Amino acid sequence: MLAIQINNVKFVYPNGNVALKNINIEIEKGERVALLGPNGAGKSTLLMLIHGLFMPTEGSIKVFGIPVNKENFSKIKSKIGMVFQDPNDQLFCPTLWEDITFGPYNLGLPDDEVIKRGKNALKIMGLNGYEQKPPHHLSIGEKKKAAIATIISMNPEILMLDEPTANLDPKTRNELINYIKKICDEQDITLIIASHDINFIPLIAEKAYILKQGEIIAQGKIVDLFSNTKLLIEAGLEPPLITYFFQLLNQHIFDCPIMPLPLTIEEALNKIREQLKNKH
Amino acid sequence: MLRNFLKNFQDIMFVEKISMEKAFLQKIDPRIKLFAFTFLIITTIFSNSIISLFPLLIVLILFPFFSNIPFKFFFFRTSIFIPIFAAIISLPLPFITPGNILASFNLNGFFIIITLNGIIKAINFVFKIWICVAALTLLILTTSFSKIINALQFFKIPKLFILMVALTYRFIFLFIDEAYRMILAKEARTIKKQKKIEIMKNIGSIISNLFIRAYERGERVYLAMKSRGYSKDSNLKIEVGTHKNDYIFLFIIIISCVISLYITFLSIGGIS
Repeated sequence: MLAIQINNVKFVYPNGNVALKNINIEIEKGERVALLGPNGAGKSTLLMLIHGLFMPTEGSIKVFGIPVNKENFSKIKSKIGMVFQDPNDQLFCPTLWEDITFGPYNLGLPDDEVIKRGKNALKIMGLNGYEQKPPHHLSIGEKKKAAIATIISMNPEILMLDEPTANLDPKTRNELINYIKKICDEQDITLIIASHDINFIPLIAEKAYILKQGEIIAQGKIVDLFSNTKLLIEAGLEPPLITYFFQLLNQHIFDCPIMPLPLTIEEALNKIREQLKNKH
Repeated sequence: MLRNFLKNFQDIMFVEKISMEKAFLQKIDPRIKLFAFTFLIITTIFSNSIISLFPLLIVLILFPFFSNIPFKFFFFRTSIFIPIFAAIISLPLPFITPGNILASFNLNGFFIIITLNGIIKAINFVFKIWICVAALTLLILTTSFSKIINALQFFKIPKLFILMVALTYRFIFLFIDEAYRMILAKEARTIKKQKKIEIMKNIGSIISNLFIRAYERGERVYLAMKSRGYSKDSNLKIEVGTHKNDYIFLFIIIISCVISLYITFLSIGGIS
């Protein structure tokens, strides 16, 4: 079943800036997809369009077969949860608990269900005990986790994350990646991540669209796209370090090139083991 | 200088740890506190003499002692800005209020008269302002912001107003921080001593930049709210609890207000 279907979408900002054009995307239910591209490529705008917060200038978008338009906005927002890039935009209530229950209350859920969902979201994101904390007292990592918790409590069928790892230290970044993986594993959720930090993408997503200046310049499986370092560099992205390193090894060291290129440390270890085994 | 002001302003205006203490006022139900302090302020407005203000003054001076609020801090907080401003506003009163003449001067044919009634009226005015500010300060210091919001909801204050107050409170920290960072960035690039006109120019550009950032953030926050189902009917839901001391507190406030009103109506204060 198609979760998201985007046909020939074009979006022009009121100031005349063409943010997106010729966008065609199909995402299956349960798929984990990355929207990759440098700053200003149109990733965040595309997420806004999918959510119905912006309306396309041309073309159409469907979420689970429902056309995204003003009439269907309530239906769409009950299916999609979007985590904004800056958690300060997302956390606007006096305490974290109010922020987490804001969405479920707006879905019209009864009090006991709201409390159940709120507690569950706090547990999933490891924020137990933070209920009464004002958001301005949280660290940036905690704010990011809290912003995701505010969406998890709405039980969305599609989760969209805009630059989830931006401004995070390595430890918090890894923690957050694990939390996102946990959410995806435990719940049958369709995941869309917009990012230019592509080192963590192979850990979460299986498919990607690469955007450049508002257009999709490549799409396909992560393993295929990331093996093409030339394409990534042309798109203004930095290939994953391990992939780039193995490409150099293939060119200068290995007699028998390793293909497809490994995307993670674990994959790289396995490839080296295989290589050594074959030699012996 | 400006960055010190911003940091100190934030520290002085938003002391949340006091509201976390487990003392007398902090334990009072926010709805009762809001009602009681509103009643106290209305009583203050109706009082017509300094004597009638005494019961209210005593209550407001005693409460900080039972609520773990450092009196020096409380006095400093309640006596700057508004009461000083009120004192400046009331300066002409001794000269323009008719009554018992205390002193008179002849300045090149201009007669300036100071009346006792005028001085008392000015003092009365400043005290009234201080009591109102002190009551609100006690409310803010001893109640977490979310509970104040809840109390406002209970009294059916329009939702839009409550949401605006909640958002203002949430984002004021962010903007103070943003302004602070901008000033730091400016200072980091300021090598030679600036002229006053240059400083004013810089402050102007920082403020205008801050307004633009505020507008842009406002747009993003609105989108984030909309994505989580915000509509004009949306409400912030907060739980509150009640305590046994609530009635004692309400009783103290009502008694002091009744005494004040009694004195006012009997005009024991004499000169008003």
